[in-house]
Amino acid sequence: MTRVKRRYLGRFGDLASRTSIYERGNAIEVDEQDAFHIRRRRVFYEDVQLVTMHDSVGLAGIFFGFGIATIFLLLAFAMGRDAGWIMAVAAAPFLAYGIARLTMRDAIITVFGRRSKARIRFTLSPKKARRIYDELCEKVRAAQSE
Amino acid sequence: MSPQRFVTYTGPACPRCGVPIALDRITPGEDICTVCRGFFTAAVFRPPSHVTRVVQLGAEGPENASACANHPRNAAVTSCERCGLFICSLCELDLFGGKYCPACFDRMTQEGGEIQKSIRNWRGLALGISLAGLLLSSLMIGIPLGFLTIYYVIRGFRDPERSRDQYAGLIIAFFLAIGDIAIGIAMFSEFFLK
Repeated sequence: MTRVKRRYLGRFGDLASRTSIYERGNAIEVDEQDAFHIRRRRVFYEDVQLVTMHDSVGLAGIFFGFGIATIFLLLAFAMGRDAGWIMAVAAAPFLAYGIARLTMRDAIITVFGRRSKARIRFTLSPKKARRIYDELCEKVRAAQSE
Repeated sequence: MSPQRFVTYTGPACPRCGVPIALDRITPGEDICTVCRGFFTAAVFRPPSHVTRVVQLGAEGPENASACANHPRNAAVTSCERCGLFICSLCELDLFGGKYCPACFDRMTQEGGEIQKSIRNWRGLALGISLAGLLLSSLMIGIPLGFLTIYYVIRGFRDPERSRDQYAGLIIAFFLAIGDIAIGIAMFSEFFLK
Protein backbone atom coordinates (compact mmCIF):
# COMPACT_ATOMS: atom_id res chain seq x y z
CA MET A 1 0.00 0.00 0.00
CA THR A 2 1.47 3.37 -0.97
CA ARG A 3 1.15 6.07 1.66
CA VAL A 4 -0.09 9.42 0.38
CA LYS A 5 2.09 12.26 1.70
CA ARG A 6 0.28 14.92 3.64
CA ARG A 7 0.78 18.65 3.46
CA TYR A 8 0.58 20.92 6.48
CA LEU A 9 -2.07 23.61 6.05
CA GLY A 10 -2.24 25.29 9.43
CA ARG A 11 -3.40 25.17 13.02
CA PHE A 12 -6.40 26.07 15.09
CA GLY A 13 -6.14 26.43 18.80
CA ASP A 14 -8.15 27.86 21.65
CA LEU A 15 -8.01 27.55 25.42
CA ALA A 16 -9.54 24.07 25.35
CA SER A 17 -8.13 22.38 22.28
CA ARG A 18 -5.33 22.40 19.74
CA THR A 19 -5.62 21.00 16.25
CA SER A 20 -3.27 20.70 13.29
CA ILE A 21 -4.78 20.58 9.81
CA TYR A 22 -3.23 18.71 6.88
CA GLU A 23 -4.19 17.93 3.34
CA ARG A 24 -3.91 14.28 2.38
CA GLY A 25 -4.98 13.05 -1.04
CA ASN A 26 -8.72 13.51 -1.32
CA ALA A 27 -9.33 14.76 2.22
CA ILE A 28 -8.44 17.28 4.89
CA GLU A 29 -6.97 15.57 7.93
CA VAL A 30 -7.59 17.02 11.39
CA ASP A 31 -5.21 16.03 14.20
CA GLU A 32 -6.70 16.92 17.58
CA GLN A 33 -3.97 16.97 20.21
CA ASP A 34 -5.14 15.48 23.45
CA ALA A 35 -2.19 15.55 25.90
CA PHE A 36 0.18 12.91 24.49
CA HIS A 37 -2.30 11.42 22.03
CA ILE A 38 -3.53 12.66 18.69
CA ARG A 39 -7.09 11.94 17.56
CA ARG A 40 -7.35 11.93 13.81
CA ARG A 41 -10.40 12.53 11.67
CA ARG A 42 -10.93 13.43 8.03
CA VAL A 43 -13.18 15.70 6.03
CA PHE A 44 -13.36 14.26 2.53
CA TYR A 45 -13.54 16.70 -0.37
CA GLU A 46 -16.46 14.79 -1.84
CA ASP A 47 -18.40 15.37 1.42
CA VAL A 48 -17.78 19.11 1.73
CA GLN A 49 -20.93 21.23 1.82
CA LEU A 50 -19.60 24.66 2.72
CA VAL A 51 -16.24 26.44 2.89
CA THR A 52 -16.14 29.81 4.66
CA MET A 53 -13.53 32.41 5.48
CA HIS A 54 -13.90 35.18 8.02
CA ASP A 55 -11.65 37.40 10.10
CA SER A 56 -11.34 37.42 13.84
CA VAL A 57 -9.44 39.29 16.54
CA GLY A 58 -6.75 37.08 18.06
CA LEU A 59 -7.17 38.14 21.68
CA ALA A 60 -4.69 35.62 23.06
CA GLY A 61 -1.93 36.93 20.76
CA ILE A 62 -2.70 40.55 21.63
CA PHE A 63 -2.65 39.83 25.37
CA PHE A 64 0.55 37.82 24.98
CA GLY A 65 2.35 40.57 23.02
CA PHE A 66 1.28 43.49 25.18
CA GLY A 67 1.56 41.45 28.39
CA ILE A 68 5.20 40.46 27.87
CA ALA A 69 6.04 43.99 26.60
CA THR A 70 4.47 45.48 29.74
CA ILE A 71 6.53 43.20 32.01
CA PHE A 72 9.75 44.17 30.21
CA LEU A 73 8.85 47.90 30.28
CA LEU A 74 8.07 47.75 34.01
CA LEU A 75 11.44 46.07 34.59
CA ALA A 76 13.06 48.79 32.44
CA PHE A 77 11.55 51.52 34.63
CA ALA A 78 12.54 49.67 37.78
CA MET A 79 16.15 49.21 36.64
CA GLY A 80 16.58 52.86 35.82
CA ARG A 81 18.60 54.54 33.10
CA ASP A 82 21.77 52.41 33.28
CA ALA A 83 20.42 48.94 32.46
CA GLY A 84 16.80 49.78 31.73
CA TRP A 85 17.37 50.30 28.02
CA ILE A 86 18.23 46.59 27.60
CA MET A 87 14.80 45.68 28.94
CA ALA A 88 13.20 48.36 26.75
CA VAL A 89 14.90 46.86 23.68
CA ALA A 90 13.70 43.39 24.75
CA ALA A 91 10.15 44.76 25.03
CA ALA A 92 10.18 46.20 21.48
CA PRO A 93 9.56 42.98 19.48
CA PHE A 94 6.70 41.93 21.80
CA LEU A 95 5.19 45.42 21.51
CA ALA A 96 5.49 45.25 17.71
CA TYR A 97 3.88 41.78 17.73
CA GLY A 98 0.99 43.02 19.89
CA ILE A 99 0.41 46.01 17.58
CA ALA A 100 0.61 43.77 14.49
CA ARG A 101 -1.95 41.34 15.98
CA LEU A 102 -4.20 44.28 16.87
CA THR A 103 -4.12 45.81 13.39
CA MET A 104 -4.06 42.63 11.27
CA ARG A 105 -6.96 40.39 12.12
CA ASP A 106 -6.64 36.58 11.94
CA ALA A 107 -8.23 34.85 8.96
CA ILE A 108 -10.15 31.66 9.76
CA ILE A 109 -11.13 29.09 7.15
CA THR A 110 -13.88 26.62 8.10
CA VAL A 111 -14.65 23.56 6.00
CA PHE A 112 -18.02 21.99 6.77
CA GLY A 113 -18.40 18.38 5.65
CA ARG A 114 -21.35 16.01 5.94
CA ARG A 115 -20.13 14.50 9.21
CA SER A 116 -17.40 16.79 10.55
CA LYS A 117 -15.69 20.11 10.05
CA ALA A 118 -12.15 21.48 9.93
CA ARG A 119 -10.98 24.91 10.97
CA ILE A 120 -7.69 26.68 10.23
CA ARG A 121 -6.47 29.96 11.72
CA PHE A 122 -3.98 32.11 9.81
CA THR A 123 -2.14 34.66 11.90
CA LEU A 124 -0.53 37.67 10.18
CA SER A 125 -0.88 36.00 6.77
CA PRO A 126 -4.15 37.01 5.07
CA LYS A 127 -2.73 36.37 1.58
CA LYS A 128 -1.86 32.80 2.45
CA ALA A 129 -5.35 32.32 3.90
CA ARG A 130 -6.92 33.55 0.65
CA ARG A 131 -4.66 31.26 -1.39
CA ILE A 132 -5.50 28.19 0.72
CA TYR A 133 -9.23 29.08 0.61
CA ASP A 134 -9.18 29.28 -3.20
CA GLU A 135 -7.13 26.09 -3.41
CA LEU A 136 -9.53 24.16 -1.13
CA CYS A 137 -12.59 25.39 -3.07
CA GLU A 138 -10.94 24.32 -6.32
CA LYS A 139 -10.11 20.85 -4.97
CA VAL A 140 -13.62 20.35 -3.58
CA ARG A 141 -15.11 21.41 -6.91
CA ALA A 142 -12.82 18.98 -8.77
CA ALA A 143 -13.59 16.08 -6.37
CA GLN A 144 -17.35 16.60 -6.57
CA SER A 145 -17.43 16.91 -10.35
CA GLU A 146 -15.74 13.51 -10.85
CA MET B 1 -26.38 4.08 22.11
CA SER B 2 -26.99 7.38 23.86
CA PRO B 3 -27.65 9.96 21.15
CA GLN B 4 -26.26 12.91 23.14
CA ARG B 5 -22.72 11.54 23.16
CA PHE B 6 -22.25 11.63 19.43
CA VAL B 7 -24.30 14.66 18.41
CA THR B 8 -21.44 17.15 18.34
CA TYR B 9 -21.60 18.24 14.74
CA THR B 10 -24.87 19.40 13.30
CA GLY B 11 -23.77 20.47 9.82
CA PRO B 12 -23.08 23.84 8.20
CA ALA B 13 -23.28 26.77 10.59
CA CYS B 14 -22.27 30.40 10.89
CA PRO B 15 -18.45 30.31 11.27
CA ARG B 16 -18.64 33.17 13.78
CA CYS B 17 -21.49 32.30 16.16
CA GLY B 18 -22.03 28.62 15.33
CA VAL B 19 -25.78 28.90 14.72
CA PRO B 20 -26.85 26.27 12.11
CA ILE B 21 -27.64 27.70 8.68
CA ALA B 22 -29.51 26.02 5.84
CA LEU B 23 -27.30 25.78 2.75
CA ASP B 24 -30.07 27.30 0.60
CA ARG B 25 -29.95 30.50 2.64
CA ILE B 26 -26.24 31.09 2.09
CA THR B 27 -25.23 33.45 -0.69
CA PRO B 28 -21.98 32.36 -2.39
CA GLY B 29 -19.36 35.08 -2.03
CA GLU B 30 -19.89 37.62 0.76
CA ASP B 31 -22.66 36.74 3.20
CA ILE B 32 -23.90 37.98 6.55
CA CYS B 33 -25.20 35.92 9.47
CA THR B 34 -28.77 36.86 10.37
CA VAL B 35 -28.12 36.12 14.05
CA CYS B 36 -24.72 37.68 14.86
CA ARG B 37 -24.62 40.08 11.87
CA GLY B 38 -21.05 38.97 11.16
CA PHE B 39 -19.64 38.91 7.63
CA PHE B 40 -18.01 35.88 6.05
CA THR B 41 -16.98 34.65 2.61
CA ALA B 42 -18.72 31.44 1.60
CA ALA B 43 -18.53 28.82 -1.15
CA VAL B 44 -21.47 26.41 -1.20
CA PHE B 45 -21.15 22.89 -2.62
CA ARG B 46 -23.67 20.17 -3.38
CA PRO B 47 -21.87 16.90 -2.66
CA PRO B 48 -23.15 14.00 -4.74
CA SER B 49 -24.98 11.32 -2.79
CA HIS B 50 -23.05 8.11 -2.30
CA VAL B 51 -24.10 5.23 -4.49
CA THR B 52 -23.38 1.78 -3.09
CA ARG B 53 -23.21 -1.04 -5.61
CA VAL B 54 -24.75 -4.17 -4.13
CA VAL B 55 -23.95 -7.48 -5.77
CA GLN B 56 -26.79 -10.01 -5.63
CA LEU B 57 -25.83 -13.53 -4.64
CA GLY B 58 -27.60 -14.97 -7.69
CA ALA B 59 -25.50 -12.84 -10.04
CA GLU B 60 -22.22 -14.13 -8.61
CA GLY B 61 -23.15 -17.80 -8.45
CA PRO B 62 -23.04 -20.00 -5.33
CA GLU B 63 -19.41 -21.11 -5.81
CA ASN B 64 -18.00 -17.58 -6.21
CA ALA B 65 -19.66 -15.75 -3.33
CA SER B 66 -20.80 -16.09 0.27
CA ALA B 67 -24.01 -14.55 1.52
CA CYS B 68 -24.05 -11.45 3.72
CA ALA B 69 -25.03 -12.29 7.31
CA ASN B 70 -27.55 -9.45 7.43
CA HIS B 71 -28.83 -9.59 3.84
CA PRO B 72 -28.94 -13.27 2.71
CA ARG B 73 -29.66 -12.31 -0.92
CA ASN B 74 -26.59 -10.05 -1.18
CA ALA B 75 -23.07 -11.31 -1.85
CA ALA B 76 -20.52 -10.60 0.89
CA VAL B 77 -17.68 -8.32 -0.16
CA THR B 78 -15.60 -8.50 3.02
CA SER B 79 -15.67 -9.71 6.62
CA CYS B 80 -15.87 -7.62 9.79
CA GLU B 81 -12.44 -7.13 11.36
CA ARG B 82 -13.88 -7.41 14.86
CA CYS B 83 -16.29 -10.36 14.67
CA GLY B 84 -15.43 -11.91 11.30
CA LEU B 85 -19.01 -11.76 10.03
CA PHE B 86 -19.42 -11.78 6.23
CA ILE B 87 -20.90 -8.43 5.16
CA CYS B 88 -22.13 -6.94 1.89
CA SER B 89 -21.35 -3.44 0.63
CA LEU B 90 -24.52 -2.13 2.29
CA CYS B 91 -23.32 -3.21 5.74
CA GLU B 92 -19.64 -2.41 5.27
CA LEU B 93 -18.42 0.47 7.45
CA ASP B 94 -14.95 1.65 6.53
CA LEU B 95 -13.23 3.27 9.51
CA PHE B 96 -9.60 4.29 9.09
CA GLY B 97 -8.79 1.32 6.92
CA GLY B 98 -10.73 -1.18 9.06
CA LYS B 99 -13.95 -2.84 7.85
CA TYR B 100 -16.66 -3.29 10.47
CA CYS B 101 -20.23 -4.56 10.49
CA PRO B 102 -23.00 -2.23 11.84
CA ALA B 103 -23.42 -4.33 15.02
CA CYS B 104 -19.73 -4.05 15.92
CA PHE B 105 -19.78 -0.32 15.17
CA ASP B 106 -22.72 0.06 17.59
CA ARG B 107 -20.98 -2.10 20.20
CA MET B 108 -17.77 -0.10 19.94
CA THR B 109 -19.58 3.20 20.35
CA GLN B 110 -21.61 1.84 23.30
CA GLU B 111 -18.50 0.54 25.03
CA GLY B 112 -16.82 3.91 24.54
CA GLY B 113 -14.26 2.39 22.21
CA GLU B 114 -12.17 4.50 19.90
CA ILE B 115 -14.00 5.08 16.67
CA GLN B 116 -11.58 7.81 15.72
CA LYS B 117 -7.97 6.91 15.09
CA SER B 118 -5.77 7.76 18.05
CA ILE B 119 -2.01 7.90 17.63
CA ARG B 120 0.90 8.74 19.91
CA ASN B 121 2.09 12.37 19.95
CA TRP B 122 5.85 11.72 19.96
CA ARG B 123 6.77 15.40 19.66
CA GLY B 124 4.62 16.33 22.66
CA LEU B 125 6.04 13.43 24.68
CA ALA B 126 9.64 14.29 23.77
CA LEU B 127 9.21 17.98 24.62
CA GLY B 128 7.35 17.24 27.85
CA ILE B 129 9.88 14.69 29.12
CA SER B 130 12.88 16.83 28.12
CA LEU B 131 11.47 19.86 29.97
CA ALA B 132 10.74 17.69 33.01
CA GLY B 133 14.34 16.48 32.78
CA LEU B 134 15.62 20.06 32.83
CA LEU B 135 13.45 20.95 35.82
CA LEU B 136 14.54 17.83 37.73
CA SER B 137 18.16 17.81 36.57
CA SER B 138 19.37 18.93 40.00
CA LEU B 139 18.07 15.60 41.32
CA MET B 140 20.09 13.80 38.60
CA ILE B 141 16.88 12.54 37.00
CA GLY B 142 17.94 14.42 33.88
CA ILE B 143 20.10 11.49 32.68
CA PRO B 144 17.33 8.86 32.37
CA LEU B 145 14.79 11.43 31.19
CA GLY B 146 17.29 12.67 28.58
CA PHE B 147 17.74 9.15 27.18
CA LEU B 148 13.97 8.64 27.28
CA THR B 149 13.56 11.88 25.29
CA ILE B 150 16.09 10.67 22.70
CA TYR B 151 14.08 7.44 22.39
CA TYR B 152 10.88 9.46 21.80
CA VAL B 153 12.69 11.70 19.27
CA ILE B 154 13.83 8.60 17.34
CA ARG B 155 10.29 7.19 17.44
CA GLY B 156 8.99 10.57 16.24
CA PHE B 157 11.36 10.62 13.26
CA ARG B 158 10.58 6.98 12.41
CA ASP B 159 6.82 7.44 12.72
CA PRO B 160 5.24 6.88 9.29
CA GLU B 161 2.60 9.48 10.20
CA ARG B 162 5.20 12.20 10.86
CA SER B 163 5.01 15.52 9.06
CA ARG B 164 7.46 18.36 8.52
CA ASP B 165 5.87 20.72 11.03
CA GLN B 166 6.86 18.30 13.81
CA TYR B 167 10.57 18.26 12.96
CA ALA B 168 11.35 21.57 14.75
CA GLY B 169 9.79 20.32 18.00
CA LEU B 170 11.66 17.00 17.79
CA ILE B 171 14.99 18.73 17.12
CA ILE B 172 14.44 21.13 20.06
CA ALA B 173 13.57 18.15 22.27
CA PHE B 174 16.77 16.39 21.15
CA PHE B 175 18.96 19.34 22.15
CA LEU B 176 17.07 19.71 25.44
CA ALA B 177 17.76 16.00 26.05
CA ILE B 178 21.49 16.57 25.46
CA GLY B 179 21.23 19.41 27.99
CA ASP B 180 19.42 17.12 30.45
CA ILE B 181 22.14 14.48 30.18
CA ALA B 182 24.99 17.02 30.38
CA ILE B 183 23.54 18.70 33.48
CA GLY B 184 22.82 15.29 34.99
CA ILE B 185 26.42 14.12 34.45
CA ALA B 186 27.75 17.41 35.86
CA MET B 187 25.56 17.01 38.97
CA PHE B 188 26.61 13.36 39.30
CA SER B 189 30.33 14.23 39.14
CA GLU B 190 29.81 17.14 41.55
CA PHE B 191 28.23 14.95 44.23
CA PHE B 192 29.89 11.55 43.87
CA LEU B 193 33.26 11.96 42.21
CA LYS B 194 34.65 14.78 44.35
